[in-house]
Amino acid sequence: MGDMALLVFSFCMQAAIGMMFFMTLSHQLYKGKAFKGAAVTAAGLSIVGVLASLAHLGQPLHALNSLLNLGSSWLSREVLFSGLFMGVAVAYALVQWFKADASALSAGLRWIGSGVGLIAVFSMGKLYTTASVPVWQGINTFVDFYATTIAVGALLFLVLSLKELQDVDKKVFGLAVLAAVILQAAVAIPYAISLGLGGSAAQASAEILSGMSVMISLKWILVLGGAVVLLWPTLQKSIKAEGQSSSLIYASLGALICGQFIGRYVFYAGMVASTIGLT
Amino acid sequence: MTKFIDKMNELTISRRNFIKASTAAAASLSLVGCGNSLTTTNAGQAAAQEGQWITAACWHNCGGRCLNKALVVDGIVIRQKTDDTHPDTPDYPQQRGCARGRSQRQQIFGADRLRYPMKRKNWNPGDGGKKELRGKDEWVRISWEEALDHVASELKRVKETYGNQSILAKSTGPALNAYGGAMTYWGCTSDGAWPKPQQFMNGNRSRGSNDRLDLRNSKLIVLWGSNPVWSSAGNPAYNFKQAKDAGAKFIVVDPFYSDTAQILADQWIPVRPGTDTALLLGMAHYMITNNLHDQDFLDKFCVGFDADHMPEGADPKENFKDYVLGTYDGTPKTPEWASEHCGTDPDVICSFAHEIAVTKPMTFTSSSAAARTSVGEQFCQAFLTVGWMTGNVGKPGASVCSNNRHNTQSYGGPTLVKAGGDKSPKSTNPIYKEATFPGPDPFKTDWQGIVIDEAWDAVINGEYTAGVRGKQSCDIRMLWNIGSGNTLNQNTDLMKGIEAFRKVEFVVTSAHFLTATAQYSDIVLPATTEWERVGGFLSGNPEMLIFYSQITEPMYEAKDDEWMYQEIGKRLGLDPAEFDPLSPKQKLFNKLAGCTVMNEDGSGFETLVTITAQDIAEMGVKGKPQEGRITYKEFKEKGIYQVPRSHGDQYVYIDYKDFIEDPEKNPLETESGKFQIHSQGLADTINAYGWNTLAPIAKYQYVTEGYEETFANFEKKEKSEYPLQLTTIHYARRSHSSLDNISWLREAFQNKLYIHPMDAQARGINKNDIVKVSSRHGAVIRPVYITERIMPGTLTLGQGAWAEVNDDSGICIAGATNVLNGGLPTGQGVQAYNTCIVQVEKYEGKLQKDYLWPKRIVAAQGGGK
Amino acid sequence: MAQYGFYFDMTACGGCKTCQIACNDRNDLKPGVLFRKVKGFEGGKFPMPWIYYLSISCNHCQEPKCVEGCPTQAMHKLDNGIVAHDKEKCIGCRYCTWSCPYGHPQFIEETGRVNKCDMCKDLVEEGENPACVDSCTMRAIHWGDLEELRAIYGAEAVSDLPVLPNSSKTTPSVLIKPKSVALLKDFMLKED
Repeated sequence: MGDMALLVFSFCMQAAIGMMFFMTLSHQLYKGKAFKGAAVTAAGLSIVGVLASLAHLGQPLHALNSLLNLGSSWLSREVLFSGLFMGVAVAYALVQWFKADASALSAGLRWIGSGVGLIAVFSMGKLYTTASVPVWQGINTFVDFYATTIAVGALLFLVLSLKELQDVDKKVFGLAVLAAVILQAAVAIPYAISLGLGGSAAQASAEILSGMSVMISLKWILVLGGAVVLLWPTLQKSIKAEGQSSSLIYASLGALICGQFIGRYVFYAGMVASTIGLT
Repeated sequence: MTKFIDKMNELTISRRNFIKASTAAAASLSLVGCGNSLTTTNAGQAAAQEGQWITAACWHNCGGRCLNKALVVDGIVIRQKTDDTHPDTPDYPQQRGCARGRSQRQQIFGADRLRYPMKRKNWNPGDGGKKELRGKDEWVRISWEEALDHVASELKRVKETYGNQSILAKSTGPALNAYGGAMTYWGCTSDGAWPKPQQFMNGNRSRGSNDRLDLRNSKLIVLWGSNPVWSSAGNPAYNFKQAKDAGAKFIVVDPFYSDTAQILADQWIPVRPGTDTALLLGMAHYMITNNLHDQDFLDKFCVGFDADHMPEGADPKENFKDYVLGTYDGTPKTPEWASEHCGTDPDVICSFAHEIAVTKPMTFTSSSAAARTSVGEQFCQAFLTVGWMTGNVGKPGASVCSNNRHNTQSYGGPTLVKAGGDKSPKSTNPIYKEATFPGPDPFKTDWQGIVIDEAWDAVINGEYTAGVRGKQSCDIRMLWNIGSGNTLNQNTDLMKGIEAFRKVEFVVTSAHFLTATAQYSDIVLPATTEWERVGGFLSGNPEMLIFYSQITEPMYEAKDDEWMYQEIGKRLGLDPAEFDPLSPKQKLFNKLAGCTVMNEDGSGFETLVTITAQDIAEMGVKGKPQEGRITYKEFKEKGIYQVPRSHGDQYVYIDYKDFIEDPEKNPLETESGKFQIHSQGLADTINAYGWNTLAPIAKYQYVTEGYEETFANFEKKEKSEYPLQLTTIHYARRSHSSLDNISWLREAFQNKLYIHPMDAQARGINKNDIVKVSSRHGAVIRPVYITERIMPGTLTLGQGAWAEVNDDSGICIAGATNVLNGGLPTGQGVQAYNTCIVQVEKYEGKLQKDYLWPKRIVAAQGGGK
Repeated sequence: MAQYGFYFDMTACGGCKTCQIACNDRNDLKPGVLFRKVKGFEGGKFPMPWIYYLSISCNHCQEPKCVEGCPTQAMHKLDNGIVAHDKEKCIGCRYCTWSCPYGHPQFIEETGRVNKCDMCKDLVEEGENPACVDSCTMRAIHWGDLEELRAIYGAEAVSDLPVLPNSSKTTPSVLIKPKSVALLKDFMLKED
């Protein structure tokens, strides 16, 4: 699949941004903890994402040209903010490992990272929704991107920080994930209906998507099921690394990653650009 | 592939490098999906170099004739353009070329060009070796010396052992003529059944209509089976559009709502292939019974319409009117009767007949599509008769023009500018002295020649039909295809052709590419194209003459056909100075010096070109300086001379004007001096050919593979195993089989089978399916184009695809229509391309788009296959 | 700012694709890539079928989405209104192939870059017409200053058709004289 590079980029980037967001949130909620594993993973994912985005280019060596049109191109902006995020995420990880005591610096980087990251996700949403691809247009793309950011980010962060979060109240994670995917599903339904009523390109997309109904059903089972499964362990007071609760979190993570990844695959697979005779 | 492109980009555009690179390309690419042009030059680099625009030949038998110019940089063409030699106006239009002409550099510089002579690996002189391997054997590169020695010695052996009549050739050429000639084949491939009806009914006034500019005076123009957008590209459709814009209504009669119809037609009248006669008879019935025919015109200018106006000696009962009314046969040819055969709605038949009868002036014009049918002569008779019934002859805007097609479609009148002859001694084939077109006189007994449809059968079974002499035996031992095109692909009955190719002792072919004819040969000789030759003249419509120049040196080891003939002649002990004494340059000069153009006052012709002594010296030829209208330099630079035209100018021509003004003083060259609706001479002649009988007036008879044969029982309407009718028409992608290998054209026109949704649904055929089309003679597979534009029960498939026959399945995957068109001789030797009955079924295999197919490049030519 | 544009007389177009091939030739395109293309659209029922052809290339829009969205400014608008593409800047991100509602820019695998119709700007600069214009055997394609074209042909011409994206999206510099059937909404893309 030609858009695999973009799939990997957007998915990894959003996951990393989500992690950074929950890392920031957790530092606010649970003082005095370090989340080194999560910090490194977020940095790693953002690097993977950026490398994947280069693989998409016909001229990867000239990738920096993509910053030449910040004035009007959401793609330029996305590149800028994604790149900035990666820089911040890497810097943050390095600080955690080598200058763990620079807490003001860490906090600053976390907040900047989260902010830049969330803007990057917004830019991604913008660039897809402003393309002449009806299936991507509308609020659904934003919701989908942010839901992935929240759900996958939260879970990855949670799993990588289980030890640190062993004895704290974690229901914020469970609730955030659940809220994100419920919103995602709630927006998806009217969106799917409207697609079939759209122009011919939208209908062509709808046709492709209806041919992928098994895959789409699987996505929703995994995403919604994963989020529900997560509720129980996150409502527990404490979690042991090898206990049933942690197994459920792992299961939830697996389900959410698979589900959102499938969803992103479907996002690209359903792409039909407007053209002459197909508007 | 990318590597190759990069490499090409690094190269400077020098001819040497170009050839090197294309050799490398041919070797490295089994050329999947890559452009077939080797002119993959870096555009920026090319632009930086000073090029020269040279007039390039666009010489194909495409039905058009246009100006083609090539931007040449160091022997390589980097771009093409068309006529820009004068401002473009509808009266005096530029001669703009079509998609085919515009992609010609992909042909000349194609990676699949034949470069070297080669022989079949398992061929042996004397007996042909393993003849069954023809078409699938390996090729071995050989020198010209070896190739020519083999060809000459085989020719000598066959002549001395079996005689010249055992050599079968489409065109013989001066050397072979000097060596005693060859058996040839003949036929009316292009004109269909028109030549004899025209000869007998209107005195050989072929193709004529009124003048191009006079079309705009017509109130109604009927185009019968004409699709100039595909088959007469260039200006004809544009000329018709001028008439439309001037207010003419257009009616197009065709089984297919063509690309021409969609521009011009106010009304499309669908008709089943081969049943046009029935439609015309139904129209005649309506006109007669409503007294709408022009009785005065018929009385004065025609014979045979009714019992009172019969030609001398004819049976008065055998008149057209009584036949239509069913006076003697009890079958009135009513619109309802007609509809049962032709499928046209009876009400439409009536309204159409009404319209042509009452609208004056009207132009009633037919191409030859409807005449390329079994016993197509009956259509020609009916078309002329019904046209004349309207009296639209000899007046502005009024014309009944038969066979108005090819590059004179939409034109009429005398040729205003023409080239001279090359002054070579006349060379004729001693065995068949007549022109192969439109065929021999069936009453004569001094010729040996085989109608195209019987050629392969004659090779296999040793017998052919020779007019009044009936069956004659023959013993063909050798197929000679030097300078004669792609005969295996383009003759009818291709499957039998393969059998014939595998039967004879020796097959030699000259070609530009590994065409089917070359593929099934023993020795293949690479020929130059017109771009590699010395230059020449091309004529088409009457208003212009094209003077093209050499574009590049011969590619690789390619040679002119004339050179091959000379070299073979030498090896046979013949002297080229006798059979072909003039150099190509001298021939070109002779044609140039002989160019004439009509006087300003239209009274006669004057010399066109001024040639100075210096010009002659520069050309290196013998000749005398002369004075003409334009200089040699200007002519060569422009590459064209076109007679300027304007509204009401002195060249306006009205066909038959003199005859209509004074029929006594200006009789036609027919038996009666009038239009012969009844012609016994025509009937006798057709009968003498020995394949069909024809009535002296237009009658409708059921024909081989006609509509009625799609039924096992027509009266009970029980369908046969071949229930669909196929027309095999000229296709926009190519000119006959020429240019079929051009990727740009393959991409633009994907050679699909056109089928109506009803016929597709009945067979479970859906969009994007591949179908198998089978006739009694063979089977092809093709993608489908399911469309409401084709009449239900009928199909169309463009002719000329490069046959790719799988020996095991017997299926042609390219859709070469002559696999489906059988060898069914008819009439005066007409190839009945448009009466072919078939079945269609869904084909489960896959078929890649044609433009992604590998090029035909074999190892012996530097390729990998 | 000046704006060059095309005028296309659909009522004269026979779908012969000469313009498409002339464009292929001018731009040395490989099969699979077309800048100017001729598309057929058809409908109706036998014996009243209809078809029309649309010859279309880049519309050199006045508000080109490709230019707006291009991250590198490789896509840019010249003073004469031509939407040009700078291959030196292009990084082959293909975003323009998504943003153009007409599907015009095409990614060329071999170069790793996008390419498009440049209205034959070097010919235009030398006072010639774009190659497609002078190739048309039916004289159906005209080129010039858009306002001048509008003054000459505007009365019969449109920029919107059911087969085209709404012109308000990008303000294309193309005028089309439609056949009446081209205004029908129930069309099918003709197969080549």
